[in-house]
Amino acid sequence: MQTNDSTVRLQNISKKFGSVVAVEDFDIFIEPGQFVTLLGPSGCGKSTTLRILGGFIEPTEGEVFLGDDKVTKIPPNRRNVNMVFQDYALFPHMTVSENIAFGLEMKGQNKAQIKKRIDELLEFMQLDGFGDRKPDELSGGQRQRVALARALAPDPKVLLLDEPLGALDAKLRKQVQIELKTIQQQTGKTFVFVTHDQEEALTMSDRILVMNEGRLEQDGSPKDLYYHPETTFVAGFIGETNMLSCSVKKIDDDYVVLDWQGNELRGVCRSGTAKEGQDVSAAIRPESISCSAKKPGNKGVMKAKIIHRVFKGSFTSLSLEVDGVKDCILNATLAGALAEQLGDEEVWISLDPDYLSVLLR
Amino acid sequence: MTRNTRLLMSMIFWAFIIYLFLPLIMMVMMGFKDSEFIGFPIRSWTFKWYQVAINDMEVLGIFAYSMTIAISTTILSLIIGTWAAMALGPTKFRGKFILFALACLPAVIPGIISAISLRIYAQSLDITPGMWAIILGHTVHNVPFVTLVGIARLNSQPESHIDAALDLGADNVIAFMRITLPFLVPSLIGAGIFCMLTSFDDFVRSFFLGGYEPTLPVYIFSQLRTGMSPEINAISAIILLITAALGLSAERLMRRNKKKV
Repeated sequence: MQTNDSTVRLQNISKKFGSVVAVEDFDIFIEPGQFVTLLGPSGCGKSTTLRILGGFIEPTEGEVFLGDDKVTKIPPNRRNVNMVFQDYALFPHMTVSENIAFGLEMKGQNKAQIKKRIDELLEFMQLDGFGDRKPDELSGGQRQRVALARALAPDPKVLLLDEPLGALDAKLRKQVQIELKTIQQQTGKTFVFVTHDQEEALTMSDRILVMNEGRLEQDGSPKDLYYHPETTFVAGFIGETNMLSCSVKKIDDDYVVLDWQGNELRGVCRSGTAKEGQDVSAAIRPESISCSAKKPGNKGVMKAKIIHRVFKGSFTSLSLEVDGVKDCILNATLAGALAEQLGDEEVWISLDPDYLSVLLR
Repeated sequence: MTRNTRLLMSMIFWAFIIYLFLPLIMMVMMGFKDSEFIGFPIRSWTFKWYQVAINDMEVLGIFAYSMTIAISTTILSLIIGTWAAMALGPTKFRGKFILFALACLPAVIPGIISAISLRIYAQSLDITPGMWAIILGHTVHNVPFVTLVGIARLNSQPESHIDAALDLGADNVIAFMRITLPFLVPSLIGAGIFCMLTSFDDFVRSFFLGGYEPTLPVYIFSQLRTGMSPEINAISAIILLITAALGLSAERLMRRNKKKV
C-alpha cells in the first residue's frame, strides 16, 4: 500500500454511543484520487464514519490516518479535509464570495490570493456573477455548487460529501451526479461520498463500500457489487434481484452446482467456501436470465410459464413460474424486440452461471 | 356563525378597543388644553405645553438620566443574556432544566419583591442607591428576556453551521464571533429594544433603588402628588409616541426573523 498525502486509512474503527454500536471494526484504505462511496440504509453508520474522517467524532477504538499522519485526535479545524454538508450549511448572512473566502481567511491568506481563488472557483463552478448574492437568493443546485466551492477552496487533501444531493429534485440530481463526477476527475481529489441512494452510488463511484448495521458488507467497484454481490444484503439492497433458496449438490472445477427444488443450477461463490449439502441463497439479476421460445441445446435449461408481462418501453419485464418450483416467481427483463418473439405462455429459460452468485447463509 | 352573533362579536371587540384607548386619548387631549388644570371641559386648545416640556431643563436632565440607565441596562443585559443563552443553548447537559429555571426566575418574580430584595442586597454590598443600583436592578430583571429570545434563536440555528465553520479552520471563538453572533443579531436587536423600554418604563425598581435623582416615571409620579400641570401630559404623549414606535418595530423585527431562518 503506497501512501501519500491524500491517502486515507481507517484502521479498525469502532464507534459506540453508549451501548449502541454505530460502527464496528471498520478497516479501509482509500487510494488518492478515487471517488469512494459509503452506501447503506439510514442508521448503517455511514455518516458516523464520514464524521470520524472529518474529525467531528472521535472513534471509540481504532486510528485514522491521512497520508502518514495519525489524525485520530486532531479536531476538524486542524485537519486538511473539508466537508460538504447535507443541508450545505452555507452561512446565511454572508454572500457567496464571503462564504467561499471563509476557509481561505482561516488559513491566513492575503486579500489578493483570496480574491484570485474565489474568481477561479466561481468560474469553475459556473457561478460567475453570483459572488455578491446571498445564499437565500440562489436555487438549490446553485447552493449545492457554492457549498462545493467553499469546501474545495482551501485545497483539502480529501473532500467529504454527506448526502449532498438529497435536497435536489430527481431531474437536477441526475445532472449534478455527472457534474460532481466531472469535478472529481478534473480536480483529481479523493472524494468520500455518503449516500443511501444505490443509483447515485453506481453512477459516480470508482469504488463502493456497502455498509449495514455498522459493518462493512462489501467493498468493490459498482459492477462487482451489481453482478457479483457477496451477501444477501448487498444483493437485495442494490438493484432488483431474484433470490433463490437452494442447497449445494457438489463443487466442480469452475462452479458450485446447486439444487433448486429439483432443478440443477450453477453459480459462483465469492464470499467463502460452500460445502456439499449446505443450504445457500442464489442471487441473479433479472437481465441475466435468458429466455427463448424454442428449447436451446445447452445444459441447465428450464421450462417456465409466463404469468405476467409488463411492457416498459426499452425493455419488457416478465414474471415466470418455473416448472416444479413452488413459492418462487422469477423476474426477468428482456430487451424490447426479444420479448416480442416469445409465445404467450411457455418459455425456456437459463440462468447465466457467471452471474449467479452463491451466497452463504 | 349567524349575522347577529358576528355583529355582537365585533361590537364587543370595538368596545374593548375603546375601553383600552380612551384613557390614552384623554391623556393626550389634556396636553393640548390651554389651562393650568387638568380636567374637563376643555375650552381652548394650545401647543404651549409641548414648548414648555421641550424647554424644561429639569425634565430634559431627568430624561437623559433615564436614557443613560436604559442604555447601560440594555448593553449589560445583552452581554449577560447572550452568554447565558450560549450556555443554555442546544447542547444538553445534566441539570440544564434547573439552570434554565433559575435563569428565568428574575423575570417572573413580582417587581416589588425583587425591588425590596435588591435594595437590601445593594446596601449590603455598599452600593449607594442611585444610578448604579438601578442599572443593577434593571439588568437582573431584563437578562432572562434576552436569554429566552437568544435560546429560541440558537435552537433554530442548524448545527451544521458551526460544524462547517470548524471544518473550514475556525476555532470556537471565531465560529461564535463570525457565525453565531451575526445569526443572533436580529433577535438581539429586538430583545435590546425590549430591554430599553422596560428599563425606561420601570417604576418599582427605580423607586426603591434610586437616590435623590428621580428617573422619569418616578418624577412624573412625584409631580402627580404635588399637583400636575398639562406639561406632564405633553411629556407623556411624546414618550407614548416614541415607545410605541420602538415597540412596534421591535415586534416586527422579531417576527420577521422567525419567518426567515
